[in-house]
Amino acid sequence: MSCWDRNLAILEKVNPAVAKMLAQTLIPADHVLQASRQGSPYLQVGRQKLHSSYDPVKEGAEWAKAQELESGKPPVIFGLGLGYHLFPLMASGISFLVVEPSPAVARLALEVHDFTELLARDALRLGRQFHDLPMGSELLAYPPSRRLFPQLYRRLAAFLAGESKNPGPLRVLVVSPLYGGSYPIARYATRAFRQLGHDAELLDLAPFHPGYQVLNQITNNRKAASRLHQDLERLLGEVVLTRVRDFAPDLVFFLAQSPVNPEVLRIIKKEGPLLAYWFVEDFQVFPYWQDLAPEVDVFFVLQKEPFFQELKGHGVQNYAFLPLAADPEVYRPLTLTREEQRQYGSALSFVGAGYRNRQEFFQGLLDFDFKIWGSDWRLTSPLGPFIQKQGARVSEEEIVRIFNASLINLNLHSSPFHAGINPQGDYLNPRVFDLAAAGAFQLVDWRSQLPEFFQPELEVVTFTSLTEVREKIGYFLAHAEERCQLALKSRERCRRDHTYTQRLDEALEIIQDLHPGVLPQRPRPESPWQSLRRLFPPDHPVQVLLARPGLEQVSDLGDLVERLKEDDAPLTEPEAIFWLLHEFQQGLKRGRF
Amino acid sequence: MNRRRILVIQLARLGDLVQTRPLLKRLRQIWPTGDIDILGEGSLQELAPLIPELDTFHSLDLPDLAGLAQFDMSAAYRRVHTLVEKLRAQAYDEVYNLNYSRKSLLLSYLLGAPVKGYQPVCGGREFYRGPWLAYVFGLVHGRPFNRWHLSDVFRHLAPLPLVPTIPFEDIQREDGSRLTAQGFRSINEPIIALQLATRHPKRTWPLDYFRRLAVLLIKRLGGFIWLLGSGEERPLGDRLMTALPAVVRHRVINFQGQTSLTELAARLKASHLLVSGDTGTLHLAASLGVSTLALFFGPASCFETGPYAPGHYVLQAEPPCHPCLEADPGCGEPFCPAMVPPDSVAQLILSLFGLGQTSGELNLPTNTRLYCSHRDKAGTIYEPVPNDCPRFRDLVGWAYRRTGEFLLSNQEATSAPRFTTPTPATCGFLDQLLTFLGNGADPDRTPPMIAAALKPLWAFRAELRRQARCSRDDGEAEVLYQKIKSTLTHYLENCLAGSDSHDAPSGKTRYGSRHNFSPSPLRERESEEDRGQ
Repeated sequence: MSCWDRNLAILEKVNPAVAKMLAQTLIPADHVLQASRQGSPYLQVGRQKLHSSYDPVKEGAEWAKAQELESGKPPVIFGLGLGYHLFPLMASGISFLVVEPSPAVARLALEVHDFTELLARDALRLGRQFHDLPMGSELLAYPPSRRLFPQLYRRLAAFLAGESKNPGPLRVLVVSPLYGGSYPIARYATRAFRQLGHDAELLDLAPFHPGYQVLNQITNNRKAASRLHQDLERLLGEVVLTRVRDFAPDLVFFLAQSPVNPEVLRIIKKEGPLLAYWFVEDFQVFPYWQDLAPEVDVFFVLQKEPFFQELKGHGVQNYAFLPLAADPEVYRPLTLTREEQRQYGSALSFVGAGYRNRQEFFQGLLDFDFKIWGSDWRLTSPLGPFIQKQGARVSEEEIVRIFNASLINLNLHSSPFHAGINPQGDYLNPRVFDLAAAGAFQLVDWRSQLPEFFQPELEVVTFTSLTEVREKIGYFLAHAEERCQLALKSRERCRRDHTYTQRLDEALEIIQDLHPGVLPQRPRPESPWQSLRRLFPPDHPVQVLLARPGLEQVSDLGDLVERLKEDDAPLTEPEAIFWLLHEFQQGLKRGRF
Repeated sequence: MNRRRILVIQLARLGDLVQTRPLLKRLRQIWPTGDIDILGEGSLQELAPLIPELDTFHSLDLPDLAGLAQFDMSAAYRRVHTLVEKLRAQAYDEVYNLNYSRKSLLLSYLLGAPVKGYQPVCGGREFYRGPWLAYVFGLVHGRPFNRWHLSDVFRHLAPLPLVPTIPFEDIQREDGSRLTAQGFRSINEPIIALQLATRHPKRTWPLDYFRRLAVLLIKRLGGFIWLLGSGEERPLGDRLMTALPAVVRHRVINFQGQTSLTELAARLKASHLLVSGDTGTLHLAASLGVSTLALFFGPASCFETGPYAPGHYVLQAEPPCHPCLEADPGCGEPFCPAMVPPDSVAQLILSLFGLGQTSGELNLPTNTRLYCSHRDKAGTIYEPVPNDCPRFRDLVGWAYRRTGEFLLSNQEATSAPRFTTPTPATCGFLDQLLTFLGNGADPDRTPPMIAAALKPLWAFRAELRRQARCSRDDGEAEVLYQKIKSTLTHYLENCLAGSDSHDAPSGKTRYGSRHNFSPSPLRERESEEDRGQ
């Protein structure tokens, strides 16, 4: 039995979630294990060595010796590395907890050394999952880990010191574009901010889209048309500004294509909020980022290098990688009626706009039972008979149905510069996450970022050529069970790691790191139960009701009453009185008593 | 025997509280020395001295408590808790819960005493009506056929008194005959009170009609018009005053918003007649023994909420959609207020005061009827004047009323149907109804008119079954339903047989002249309080 198997066996018993996460972790190419001169392996991440390349064991012992441990609570050590600095502590029976920021490092450590004693105590935390650690514990930093993840270290230090840096409930204004692929993301983002407990409002500009379209038909005179468009843009800028003045947000969160220009951004900035822009586009296709990125406080992007270099070249310092995600409330498994299955189902399907590379690539798939959904397809092309609804736009609800009804959902990233697959494709489009969240089986063209998000071929199946995709279509049409397994795994992964709620939580942390102390920390309002409990003396019979498990999720009296209705036991006096008070509240709302 | 301690929960408005009095009277007859208390809406506490049957009025300020529940939960909690403790300390032997509302259900549950009326079951979560209220619940689903007055619905929740207070012969004599005395003929300058507003626009007679009525009455009758109502309603009265010709305006006095409840009662007692829609003022007047003429249309039905005492008049518009529901979005063009024209109302009032035509036909639109209240064994009932040809809904309503009496006493009602001959078409419908009833009609395949007549019975069964799940044996519910069904069938057959050979003397029905309107002039009547109803 290898170290990894032993470690994993313990971990599965003690902390199955962490066990699962590590089992699914892929090791990035820049994580390299090498033999030290002394013989033991050491790990290098990028240019940072986590241990001495000469004698990691000795180095670890020296680190352990240098720590002045206070008695009392077990200390928290930031950085697992390969564990050399921890073994001496374990050997002398010192109890401690470890936070390892990187799952990949933890996975390698567990492959190399036996951590069963540490794992059996459930003393390992990964990434940001440290909120159950006892506050006030002493924090010891393992310097190489700290250098690799300085922000996470700061956050952990603040947490343990009881100075949680989480901004209080924020007022967030999410600005949508008029239409297009980033429009739904604005809605998902707004919902995610709300789920995170913030007061988020969506400035929905979609109602202006028909007007925008009408302008195209007003005149054939290009100059005149351009002037009209500029005027509309100016008006929309005013709309955003007016809403900002009314709502007074702490943070304005723009989605790509929202109708703002540098001038409008500068005026909004003067109103006081932090500005964040999520550029959910390919920087090589849409160069307008060059104008906007310098004007906002944080510019979130989907691509890394060479985009980062480009941004730096334009003097942009505050940029950050923020990949897409899915909204599991929208993209979900559905049970379809026979009629829906007939209408939306096929062996192979594709939902999306008819970019050139797709028009060309899909011609090689026309011998399958193939349905193509979406707009901008040429009905006169050979794909014509496969295009559904005459190339009309499909609604979100229809898309969810199509995802659920199709045996194989094809996902080919768009590219205006390629004939088929973009071999340099890096970022993942929303469809990767949406399909995963819907529990649909997808075949996606290879993207360099994919392994960061899903395990290729274990969670999503990829292709790099027409020949490969044809083979895989044939194979998976014949292997329904495997298809289902893969879809299930990708859904699990997506729900665990790739929801908009998680993304925007990360986004807020990044904003905090880049602009510490700027976002206000308002006291979170007490839950209605906390405030109710405070109103009654500790020995009051109401406390028994309010302390009942599960009640903390109840948001108001109405919720409580719904629960009471479902129970069987005779109502207790506090229950009956609360129900009565709810009736009184309702009476006040109706204006009738 | 210990003193009986009884609490009646009536948290609704003025009209409902006043209509609770017959129950209180019955309770007082049964327990002359008992404690009879009410838990009522705080703003009505002032009425307590006017209800001699009552010992204590426990007050619950609903709007105040609602505000408190919104803004200071713990204070609201404490207030409810204190109230519950106070009431519990009274150790009531029984609680009458008269409101089909969650609030009163929970309150009665919290008191822990045996409950009558709407009873809490399933740990305080569900309503249990018992067979009588389930029967009334059925009739609410077929209101055109409901002939049970709300006051009687409440009154029959109490057990029957050991000694009947009004012998049957007295009841017979009382009907109609008591109003044949001198009445108001001698009054030179009568005071007629008008209640302009009602709780709901669908029940409210147009202001312009009131204006026309006021003008006609002052011109023809002389006397004074008093406008009664709350402060909120005062703009209506002001508008009326402005619209009146100057020559009559000085005879109209607006008391709206100027009276407390006791002052309102005093004003009512001082007036000779109240004209009103279905309002709390109307019920208060009837309870005080003041003569009333009520104008009913839309959702208001005199059978359910007419003034509760014999000798009151109601002009009621009865288009096929009557009675409608308050909660319905409403008809595009409500035409029923116009079916009670002010000239007819004036004509009727003049007759009541012995002026104008004393006999002959009252000019009323088709489907508008004049009703007068009478008393029978089961309570107050409204009969048309003149007692014209009975319609399908009259006969079915009669059968349902008699069936209700059977449910209450488990004895068949003694009175036979005494209607004029129904038309052959009505007999045909009755025949059809009996056939469907006998065949176990299927709601989906029954003609609409027949289905409407059977709806109360079906709703009764559904409610019995629902309740059986809470506390009653299903079989027992079915036995009761079958019994009620066969009783209803019996009375419907009785209607049909009566139509051929009933024993009403020719030209005369039990309740007066068949063809001609000959109203009984008003006289000052003694208060109903002493009549033991």
